[in-house]
Amino acid sequence: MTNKLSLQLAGVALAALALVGLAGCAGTQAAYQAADTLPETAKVVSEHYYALLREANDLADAGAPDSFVARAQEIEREATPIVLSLREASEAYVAISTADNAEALQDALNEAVPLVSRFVDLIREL
Amino acid sequence: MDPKNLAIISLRALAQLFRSQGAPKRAESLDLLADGIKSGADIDDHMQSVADALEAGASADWDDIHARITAESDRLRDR
Repeated sequence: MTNKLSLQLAGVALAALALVGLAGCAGTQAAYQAADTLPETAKVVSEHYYALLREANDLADAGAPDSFVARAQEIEREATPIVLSLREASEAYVAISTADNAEALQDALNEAVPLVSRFVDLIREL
Repeated sequence: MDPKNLAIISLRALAQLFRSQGAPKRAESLDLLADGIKSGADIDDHMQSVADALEAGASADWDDIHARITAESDRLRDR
């Protein structure tokens, strides 16, 4: 792995760890730490987003306030297309591991992680 | 017992007590707090399974991940 790629991966990992906080989320931390490559990180971010979406729905079913549902829907509208785009960037990189493809996947992750973080914050605030 | 489960059970019991004493708003607040803790536990359980799969050299198929995300997105949008 190139030094630049190592730095990029470390950057994403740090951002992801900041995303989950450093306490009380052992499983989530374990998942981000288990990802050794950008494509694995892309899957972890996607799985995290899925779990957050599912919980937002379950909380809505359990009677969460309308304001929570509205905010969740607002975040989802912006986040879902970006999270879903991780697949294409990841598969392009896996197919041909060029610096350009690595950078594209890194850029996609940099865009997706803050949006996933907004969902984390929303559920924590409930 | 897992501290999170203990907290959830305690909160639910207290919520039920408030409900029986005619304090539905307090009960609802406690239920939402329990839901929040449970949701964190559910998310963490899922992510632990993701971690375990990665450690075992496996991960979910992208089609599967996308199908799950799309299903939950539709579920949220259709409210």
